[in-house]
Amino acid sequence: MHKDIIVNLKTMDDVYKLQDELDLLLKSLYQSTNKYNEVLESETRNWVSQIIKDEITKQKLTPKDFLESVSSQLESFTKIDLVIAFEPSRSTIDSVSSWVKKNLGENVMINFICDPGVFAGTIISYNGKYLDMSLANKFNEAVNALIAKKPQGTGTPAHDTI
Amino acid sequence: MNQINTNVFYILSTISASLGLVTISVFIMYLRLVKKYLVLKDETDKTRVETNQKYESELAKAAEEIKAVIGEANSKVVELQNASQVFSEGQRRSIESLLKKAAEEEIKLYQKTLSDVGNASINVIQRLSQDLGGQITPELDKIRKTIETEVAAASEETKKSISSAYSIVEKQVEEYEREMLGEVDKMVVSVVKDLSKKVLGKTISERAQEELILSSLEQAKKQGVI
Repeated sequence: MHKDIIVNLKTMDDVYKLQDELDLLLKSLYQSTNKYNEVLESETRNWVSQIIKDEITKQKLTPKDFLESVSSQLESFTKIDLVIAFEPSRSTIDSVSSWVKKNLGENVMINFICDPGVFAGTIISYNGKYLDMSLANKFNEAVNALIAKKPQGTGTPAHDTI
Repeated sequence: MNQINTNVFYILSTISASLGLVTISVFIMYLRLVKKYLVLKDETDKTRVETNQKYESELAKAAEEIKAVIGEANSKVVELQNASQVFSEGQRRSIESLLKKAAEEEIKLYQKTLSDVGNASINVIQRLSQDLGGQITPELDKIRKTIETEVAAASEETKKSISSAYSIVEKQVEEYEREMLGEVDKMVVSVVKDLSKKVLGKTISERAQEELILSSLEQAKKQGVI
């Protein structure tokens, strides 16, 4: 477990970004030590390069073993898809991620999908399960119920979704 | 040599004698022929003259006969002319009056026949008209009744058709009204949705959005989805 790294990962975008950095470092290792150091210093985010250096020293691992170990852990992550109506801010990401890690586990990463059509709330997909908790869905249900209650002959209920 | 000359002499003498005899016989035959020619010439001339005379006499005879026939014909013509002037003026008048009478009688008879035929025709036509009237009147009655029945049936059929068409149109109008109202409802719902979307999208704050997401996750956990 690489807790220090995982703590900083909240969304699937974070995971993909870190994966790209690890792949680049692994590639540079096959070229030369200097190249590896160069990539670590200039092409890796500061917190990532700092954790890598610290952990390698602390765990007494070769850079290759450490990088491969982190990479394989990233591959073991599961994701939860959340369709929301807006582009989430860092605050929202932290808040939702905190809930997810607390309730679903450290290895669950959020995949935010932005769709203004949902109004508010979210549509959840997780481990093959699906639940529409969006306001758009509730609104449609309410409108359809209203139309269904109308006296007959005054029109056909609309079933289209927003 | 003398012997030879003698022989030649004899031979030549014989030949000369023979030639002399032949010449004499030829001359005689010529004379006979000339005689025969002259005789024949005379006979031919005689025959020609005879034939001419006979021909001329025959012609004269024929002319005489023709003259006689013509004379006879003339005399007969004269006889006929005389015969045509046999009826006297009085006889001619009586014949004319007789002919006139006969013509008048014929005309009267013709007029009477004509009148009889006319009367008979009028009678026949009048009878025919009466017969036709008697036959046609009931037929006309039948036709009138048939037409009346047909008109009544057509009128009934038309009423039914109009009524049926009216009910179909009424149904179509109702259906159309229902469809239009449905369309209006759809439009209203669509407008309401769009407006709500715009209003809600703008009015819900990020904090409220965040709370709704967390609330959704809580509910999903409760339902066992996550």
